[in-house]
Amino acid sequence: MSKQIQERSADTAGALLSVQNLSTYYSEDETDVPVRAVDGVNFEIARGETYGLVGESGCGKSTLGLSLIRALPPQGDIVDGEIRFEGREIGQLPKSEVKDVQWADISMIYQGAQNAFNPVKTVGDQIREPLRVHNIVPEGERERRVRELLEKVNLQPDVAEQYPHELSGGMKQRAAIAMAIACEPDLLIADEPTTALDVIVQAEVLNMLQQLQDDLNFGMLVISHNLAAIMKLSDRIGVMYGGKIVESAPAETLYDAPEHPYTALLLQSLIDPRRPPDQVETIEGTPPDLRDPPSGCRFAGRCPLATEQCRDMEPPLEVVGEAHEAACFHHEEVSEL
Amino acid sequence: MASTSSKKAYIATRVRNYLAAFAAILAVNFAIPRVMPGDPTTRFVGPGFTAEARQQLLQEFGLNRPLWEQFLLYLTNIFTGDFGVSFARYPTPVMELIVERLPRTLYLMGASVTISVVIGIPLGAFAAWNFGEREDLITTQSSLFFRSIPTFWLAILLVFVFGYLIPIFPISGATGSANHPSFIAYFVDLTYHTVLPVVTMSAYFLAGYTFLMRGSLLDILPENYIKIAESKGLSERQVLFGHAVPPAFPPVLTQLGFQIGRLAGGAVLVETVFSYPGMGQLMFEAVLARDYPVIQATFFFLAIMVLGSMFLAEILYTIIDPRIGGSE
Ligand SMILES: Nc1ncnc2c1ncn2[C@@H]1O[C@H](COP(=O)(O)OP(=O)(O)OP(=O)(O)O)[C@@H](O)[C@H]1O
Ligand code: SF4
Ligand SMILES: [Mg+2]
Repeated sequence: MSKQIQERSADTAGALLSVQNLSTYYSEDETDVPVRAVDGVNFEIARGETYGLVGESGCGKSTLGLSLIRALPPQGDIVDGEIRFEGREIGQLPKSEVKDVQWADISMIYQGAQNAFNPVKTVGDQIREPLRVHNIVPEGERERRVRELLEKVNLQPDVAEQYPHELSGGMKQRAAIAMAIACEPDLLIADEPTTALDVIVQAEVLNMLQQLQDDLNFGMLVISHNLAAIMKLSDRIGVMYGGKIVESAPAETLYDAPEHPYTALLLQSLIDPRRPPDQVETIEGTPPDLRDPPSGCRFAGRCPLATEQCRDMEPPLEVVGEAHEAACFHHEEVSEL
Repeated sequence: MASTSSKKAYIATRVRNYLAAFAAILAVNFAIPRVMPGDPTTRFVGPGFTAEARQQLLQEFGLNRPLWEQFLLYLTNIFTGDFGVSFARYPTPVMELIVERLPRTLYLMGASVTISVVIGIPLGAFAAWNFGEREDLITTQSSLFFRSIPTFWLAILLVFVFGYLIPIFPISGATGSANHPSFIAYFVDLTYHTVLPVVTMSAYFLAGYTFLMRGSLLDILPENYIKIAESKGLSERQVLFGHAVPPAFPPVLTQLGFQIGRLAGGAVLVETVFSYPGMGQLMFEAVLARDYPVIQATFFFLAIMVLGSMFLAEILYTIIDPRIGGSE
């Protein structure tokens, strides 16, 4: 543990994580047309910062997270760009050379925590495993550490001896969080941490993540298709559309003054209990085919502001305000939407 | 823990079921020769007997007593290991034949089960891990081959190839000589003589385990906990054998009992083709010779073996898989 504290104080300057032009494609074999799930993405996360990543289903959020922890399925490949973690490039190295970073420095709460645990091993064994692999805590103390971790996420320490099927959904999600923070990572990726949980448990889980971050000071990437769910938690939000980040800004700025039509429509579609359902805006149309994305702006097919230019050229991600970037030719008009 | 007590209840149910099956075997084994058409004495007592011997045997088996008394006698005999004497090898006690033959068949079945599990399961894991690659294709194709050819055909093929074309393996008997200086020497001789029968008996099941393991793993590999294991920093081999194989294993284990059941039948065929002096051959010869006491005893022992191993496999399965008898 002291090793991590040292590293923390030594490296305060510069981003914890810096992603440049990252592209991750899926293909079955060489002849297959690749799915461009992540296509030229840039962003940074500082220590202690929470970066929220939103976007509709299939836009590449999980692929981005899996790229960072280098656990893409066999069909997925980082084809371009770099991932700098504490200054070290980890995106292009062979998987076998980033094993030391995995879980010890970057860990992840996977989408679908209901299947986060091996059904034939106890929860405790699985939380203990990364401690052993990375030799974080001396062997004799691991048992105690596992119990501490479970207490940290408001679970009974006895849960360690239980099998996953004996836990409720909310308990599993919390146990998955305990597993993710076992090695006190510097960066935690939380992929849809609240999806499939009921509302009360959702709030609990989000509070817990916030508290753990205050405790451990890790940088956090929170992924969700639900902007409302992560708005409060995030310092900064990146909006992803069709494999690209189309807007990124501090959470409040994004909420008050979005500069990309997609973000604006997402905000309008947030469910407000006072608004009758027929007045809730939905975004017409379907997301682009990531095997054959449109050559211009990927949102052009669904965008109320689209012009000829949008279909011909791809809008670059540009600075549009303080710490605020958007990729839209007509971002000045977004406020009128 | 809650699951431990429901596990016990689960095992208790199994024990009850198997006891019922055991009782059924006892009853069937008693009934079959008696419900067959004709006078029971002609069935039990061979035609070539003198009236004296016949009378003596009828007396011994209590065949002139009422049925319920016969049944009690039958039970007493079974539990004291008295299966009477063989007609064909009169007056050798049946039990003597069984004691000589049973270990040989157990050896054959044990070797076949071990080989098919020890090779089949890793092979299936290997194929699944290389899903869609050439290694997978070769494994699947050859498994399909061994899964589809009839056992007797494979036996004959092996005899032809390794007995005549490239005569490197013996094609009959259990051992080369009757006397061995040590147990090791005996075991080596036995192993050498049983290469072909064991291969014949293993092929079908080995391929079965390969398929089962492969299929089971292909379901498991995309699971989250496998991706998580990978991102914990474990090596590929650790992920495969530490995380993917254990949950894939219990369903494979249920096949074990089934395999042993099929092997008992297979033993009759394989032992006959390879003139291997085991229980299967004994049963086959007994059927030809209408040697009823031997038929009854071999049937009984094979059935008990099958039942016992299925029971063990199922208990093992229950113990290994924490999901069984869990929180209902
Ligand atoms: N193993 C794979 N092989 C091929 N294509 C894949 C694979 N995994 C994901 N994809 C495709 O990549 C795109 C991005 O998927 P990804 O799971 O990253 O989206 P997501 O934003 O996380 O969606 P969701 O909100 O549903 O989780 C999708 O179009 C998906 O179909
Ligand atoms: S560039 Fe054009 S199509 Fe794309 S979001 Fe902006 S206005 Fe819409
Ligand atoms: Mg996802």
